[in-house]
Amino acid sequence: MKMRPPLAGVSAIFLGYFFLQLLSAALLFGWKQGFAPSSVYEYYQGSEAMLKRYPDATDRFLQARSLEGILKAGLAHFAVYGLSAFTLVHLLRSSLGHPGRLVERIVHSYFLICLLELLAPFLTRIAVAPGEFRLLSLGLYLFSSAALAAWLLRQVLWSTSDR
Amino acid sequence: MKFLATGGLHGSRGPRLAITLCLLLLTLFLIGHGVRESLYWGFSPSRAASELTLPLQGHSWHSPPPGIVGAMEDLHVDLFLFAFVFLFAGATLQQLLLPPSVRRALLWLAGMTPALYLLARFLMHLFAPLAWAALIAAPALYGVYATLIVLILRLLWQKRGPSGATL
Repeated sequence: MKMRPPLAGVSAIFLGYFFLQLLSAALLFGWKQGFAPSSVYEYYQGSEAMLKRYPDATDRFLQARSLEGILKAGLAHFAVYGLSAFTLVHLLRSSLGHPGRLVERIVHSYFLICLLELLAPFLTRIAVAPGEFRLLSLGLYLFSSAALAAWLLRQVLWSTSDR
Repeated sequence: MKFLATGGLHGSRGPRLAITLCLLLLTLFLIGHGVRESLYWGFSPSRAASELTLPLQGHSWHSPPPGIVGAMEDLHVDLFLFAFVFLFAGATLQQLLLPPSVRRALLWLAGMTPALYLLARFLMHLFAPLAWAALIAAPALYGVYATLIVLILRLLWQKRGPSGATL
């Protein structure tokens, strides 16, 4: 007899929260840092350093962010990303039954993308990585998270396995 | 999430005590959340309208009024917290023997009430009338979770479940 995977309803609602969280994260990023490489760079390095790298950009008279401030925001995110990524991946693997090597590689890549996204603020501040790098890490994280969540949602809504 | 429960939920060697203690901590979380919300806007639409609703004139979505960032940060954190509270409560509920219609209704209520409250609570900073929606959603949220916690505890500690329920 065909039936939906266990916890289908719970997973679907959880994914609703997950999507809302991604949306709120993107909005917060846009409001605080902006989506231009120069504004992102300015957020971490301050206006003076930004104008040296992006002379044509307009500044917002910002001081460079302290490492303490970045660590304060980053610390909670290390735990949150770990829990969120694990839960998403665990539910996805459960819904797939016997995930193949490709799925395992996607899962491992996702954790690497999470790590990159977590380290990106520090790299932008300490190693003076360009604003483009920070935007790339954010884009990769949002895209891969949304893609995995959409995949899980598809499994939850349309899977007919009897696990 | 089956890893939450290894063995029968009702068995003396099962995770019953751990789940109970976790539910007690979640109760404290809900009480704390309610107190925080009470201090924030007093569950008063008029207070929300006068103190929290921000003027939209001269602002756009990419340059919102300054106060909205703080409200969005609250929403961002609360979405994470309630997602995991819901996941834990939902996963536990799923493993207790209940009539499917009752379980489905409880899951929907437990999933929807925090989302409604949190969204209305955020949007009332932009549209004052939505404070009324938050006011209605708040008791629903706390009531549903209080009911859920009591129900789970009751089913966990029954001598036997509705039909000798174990996992």
